[in-house]
Amino acid sequence: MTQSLSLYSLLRRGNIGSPEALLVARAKTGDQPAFEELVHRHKDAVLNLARRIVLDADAAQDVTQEVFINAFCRLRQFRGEAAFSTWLYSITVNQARAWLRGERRRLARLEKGRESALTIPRPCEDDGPVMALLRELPEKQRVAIALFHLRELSLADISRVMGAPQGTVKAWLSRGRERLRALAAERGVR
Amino acid sequence: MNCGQAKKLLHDFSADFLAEKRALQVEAHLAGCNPCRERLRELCAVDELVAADRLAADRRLVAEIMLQTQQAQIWRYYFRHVLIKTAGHLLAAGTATAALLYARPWLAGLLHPVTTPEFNWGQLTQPLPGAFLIAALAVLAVLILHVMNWLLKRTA
Repeated sequence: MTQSLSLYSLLRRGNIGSPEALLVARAKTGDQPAFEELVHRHKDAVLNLARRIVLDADAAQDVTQEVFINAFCRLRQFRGEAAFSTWLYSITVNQARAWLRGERRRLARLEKGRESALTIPRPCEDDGPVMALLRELPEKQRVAIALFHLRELSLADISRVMGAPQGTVKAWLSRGRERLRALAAERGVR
Repeated sequence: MNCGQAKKLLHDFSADFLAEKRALQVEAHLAGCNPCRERLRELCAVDELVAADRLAADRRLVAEIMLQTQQAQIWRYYFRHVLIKTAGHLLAAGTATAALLYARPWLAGLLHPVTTPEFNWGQLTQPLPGAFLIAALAVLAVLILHVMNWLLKRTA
């Protein structure tokens, strides 16, 4: 019944031709191979989005895992109103920002001296010049830029994922990209 | 259009966010302005740099994700079949037992004709004391079973 209902909703929205929509419908019924195929399709995009937000390759892997497990558990809530990838990116942004909040709290505790000095995070020297540039941006500008560079999302999609009006997202993007341009010129990054 | 106006629009222009008319105006300005063209080139170069800095997820990550989702599915199965079902049945059975215990005198009266031939049938027409409470308990038991079924469907 559940499967026929979701197939009906896909037909109604005219998405039936998309193999991804069928994969999602199959995954909703607990079909593990279908979900694995979805993981294969989106793993790189989710990993890179997470990495550009949390600015740490190891943490990005953890966030990616959490994203897909969350997506699997909440798959029934996906109604197909937006593309599956957009829904997945929303989960990624929320998960990555939650990780950042946790990290900020952990650092605040460290400053109060409640944790051992052994747990102090290493400075990320292996990140490369791009991560070093992104590190200079405020979180919201960085999230907007990370979503923009997925090259799949429209401005409306980015604004939906970030839960902010399109004008605000445009402003974050402009300021962020301008700051990146200026920093790259200043540091000679090419 | 002057350089100040063009500078404000360059980001939206390169991101393809501008309406056609506005984009044509920017293009016309760029055709005759070297500094703005250079600025646009820098902007596009940084975009390409960021876009090119990509990692590929390895097989271990996918394997770990699939393992975790399988575990989540197993937990969901136990949650449904052990936790919700047992709790629902115990609650419903407890409520039904309470209703039966409360209605015991009435039920004893109902069975009396079978055990004693001199039973006065008129007794059964007497209103049942606490009938409302017994009905409420029975309804509650049915309601518990419905909630349990709803929970099972929701977590399926």
